[in-house]
Amino acid sequence: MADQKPTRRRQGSQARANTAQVQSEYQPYIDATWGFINHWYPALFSDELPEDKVEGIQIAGIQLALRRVNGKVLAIKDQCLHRGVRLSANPMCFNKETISCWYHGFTYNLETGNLDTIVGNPDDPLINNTALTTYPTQEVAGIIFVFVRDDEFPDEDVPPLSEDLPIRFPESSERFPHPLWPAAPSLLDDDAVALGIHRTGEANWRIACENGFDNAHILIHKDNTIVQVNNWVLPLGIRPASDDCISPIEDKDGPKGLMQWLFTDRWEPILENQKLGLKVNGINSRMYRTSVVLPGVLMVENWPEEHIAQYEWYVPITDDTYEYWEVLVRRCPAEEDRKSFEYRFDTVFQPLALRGFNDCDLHAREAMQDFYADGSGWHNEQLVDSDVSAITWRKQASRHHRGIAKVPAGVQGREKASSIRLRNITEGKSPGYFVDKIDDLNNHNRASVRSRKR
Amino acid sequence: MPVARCHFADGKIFEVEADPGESFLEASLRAGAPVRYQCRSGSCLSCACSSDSNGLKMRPGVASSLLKTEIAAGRRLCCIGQLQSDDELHFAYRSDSAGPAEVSAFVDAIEWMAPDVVKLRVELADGEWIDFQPGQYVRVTPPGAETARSYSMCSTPETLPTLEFMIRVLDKGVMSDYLRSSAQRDDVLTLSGPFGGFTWKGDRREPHLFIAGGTGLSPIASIIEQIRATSGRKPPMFLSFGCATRDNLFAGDYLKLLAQWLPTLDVRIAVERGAEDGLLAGNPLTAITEAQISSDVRAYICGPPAMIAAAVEKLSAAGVPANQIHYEQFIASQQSEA
Repeated sequence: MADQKPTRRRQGSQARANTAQVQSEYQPYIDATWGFINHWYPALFSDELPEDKVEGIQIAGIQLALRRVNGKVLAIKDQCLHRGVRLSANPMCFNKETISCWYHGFTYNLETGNLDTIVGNPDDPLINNTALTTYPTQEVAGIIFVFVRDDEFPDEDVPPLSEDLPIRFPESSERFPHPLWPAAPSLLDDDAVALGIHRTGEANWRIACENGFDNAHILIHKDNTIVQVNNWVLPLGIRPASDDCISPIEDKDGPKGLMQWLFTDRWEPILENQKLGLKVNGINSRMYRTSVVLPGVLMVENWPEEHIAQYEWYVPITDDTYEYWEVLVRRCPAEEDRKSFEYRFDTVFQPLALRGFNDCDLHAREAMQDFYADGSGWHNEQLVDSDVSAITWRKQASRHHRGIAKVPAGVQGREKASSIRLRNITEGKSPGYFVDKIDDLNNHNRASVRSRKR
Repeated sequence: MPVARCHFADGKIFEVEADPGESFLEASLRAGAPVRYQCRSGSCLSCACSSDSNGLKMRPGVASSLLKTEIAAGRRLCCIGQLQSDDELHFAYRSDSAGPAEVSAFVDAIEWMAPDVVKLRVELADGEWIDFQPGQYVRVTPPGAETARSYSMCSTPETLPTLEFMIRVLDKGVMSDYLRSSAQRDDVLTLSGPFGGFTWKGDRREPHLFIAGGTGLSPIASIIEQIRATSGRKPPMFLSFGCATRDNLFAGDYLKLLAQWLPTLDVRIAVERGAEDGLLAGNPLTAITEAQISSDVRAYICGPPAMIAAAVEKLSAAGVPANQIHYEQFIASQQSEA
């Protein structure tokens, strides 16, 4: 030891795009391990919640119970104030107005969250003196959205859903023109039909989100079936060619994020790498354009076909799981339009795009997760100029988010090695988005029950 | 007049006679009962007690930070409480221990932000605690010293047990000498507090105007950080910060970051001598124009007395009501040194 010369700790190269100064500008984003809060997130597809059904999910470390009553979706914190039991694990509703905890009968008003009564203790002074947080909901194009908020976030500050959805066309056509395709459809269009899937991914939500609009990751998609079957020829990469290659989106009372000017001269496709002897001839790929807005909503215009836009959400569940939403939106003015969109969705888009093509992205996100899982990756990564997209997004998110989710207490997924979690894993159930429902109160299935021998 | 018997944890009982229309806190202080208090406005909970027979009632229509459930269980705040009939009140602390706490804190870091400004970071010793509201100050005694100096935190309660201060280092002074010569990590300081009523009033609808001179920035940074961490819509904010010269300007990068993170915050920086690189020439009042002064503005001012006097005069002349102007004077020596 004594004759060893002391050496400096290894630092990121000063040539990297994420210098210490740049990192400090997006520190709030680095802090948002459990997600951003006080934003609208997709919760369920409408058909996942028929009348009177109760479902339990988790978003940004907050457990939520949703129930549909007289057609309207109501959302309430899914954690009884008494002993923390999840109401949705074994839903008990005696009427249309309330949900009761199935353990001791604490009964909450679904609209206000007020503790209306206690089944077996109707005169307790706690009644009407405490409440669970409730969450505003809105349903559009067959998707239920929930405004996931802090307990203190006031009702009057809840923004319209449109502030957390991508910008709309044709109203933005002048600002973000593109001669190569028609106006991208929006979920908020009257005749919009949204078809899609959601599933749990094992990575931090930010890793997933940044993958969605990372222009240099085109490399992983070159062997995808949808690319090959269409004889698309992709460039090796795409580099920023101008400092206006990205425009911030930050209108007052509008969504906040960024738009990338893809397939214009502001981005340069890379066709050759001499060192590796690689050369791409005759680029022939779909012209698409990506934009992203808070709380992490991707829009891919003109993808996977004309008149369609793909929307994605990477809804944080815990710090290392997210619910991955992939939704294709198309305007279908007539019933036949809807039918043919559905047919094409089932036969082509779901298997080749949402699964095949985007499954490839799931692999890439998981591959990054270990590097970022303990937080060190955010400082050790060595970003390059094509990462301008991620850096711009991080800065925009740091500036415009409505709150950083606190590390939650007392919820699923906070303790990584709890006995129940381990048991579920050994039983083949991965930790996920939905509550673990009790299907038979008379039967607690355990592998090894011992009884006294006589 | 009704009478309340105030029971303290050491068994001492103080009888307080109070007019049903007055604040019970004022009555108990007049009667010499050692009730702890801080904000006098129903928010800090320092003056909380428990009522046996509901003679002490909360003033109707006044918001407090007690939950309905706590009120139902008999918890009361003296400051916004009114004694309507005789009552027995219980305080959870000893009658001889009322008032701010005295604690030990370890020095974590000493960072020179400018030739005469230090950012001091300390961590409260294990098992010791101080609560405070952003904008308040504590009195700090360096190791081995007899006298204390007052400093406002620039950090927020969220980062407790860590506290941070922006401190002006003078040519002479008990804390200045310590910081310049012997201060090092793991030194143990004595902190007492918190003190002061210069705190965020919490209304997010009003435009906020912050005026900070020198290390008067410290409590104002704490308030802005608190607003940043608060859920819901942020108020429009304008911060005008000034230092004497370009060379002793500090926290410029930090303020740039704050403005980057808070879209509703506008920052102007002025120096009296050596203005360049987008800095304004003059004092912090230079940047304040009619655009920043509306009749509903809430102003928080901290810095040297002359700056405060000028700011108050300017705002009052522009029609800002006195109860919307809050200030904290930073005076070197006895009470404050910053």
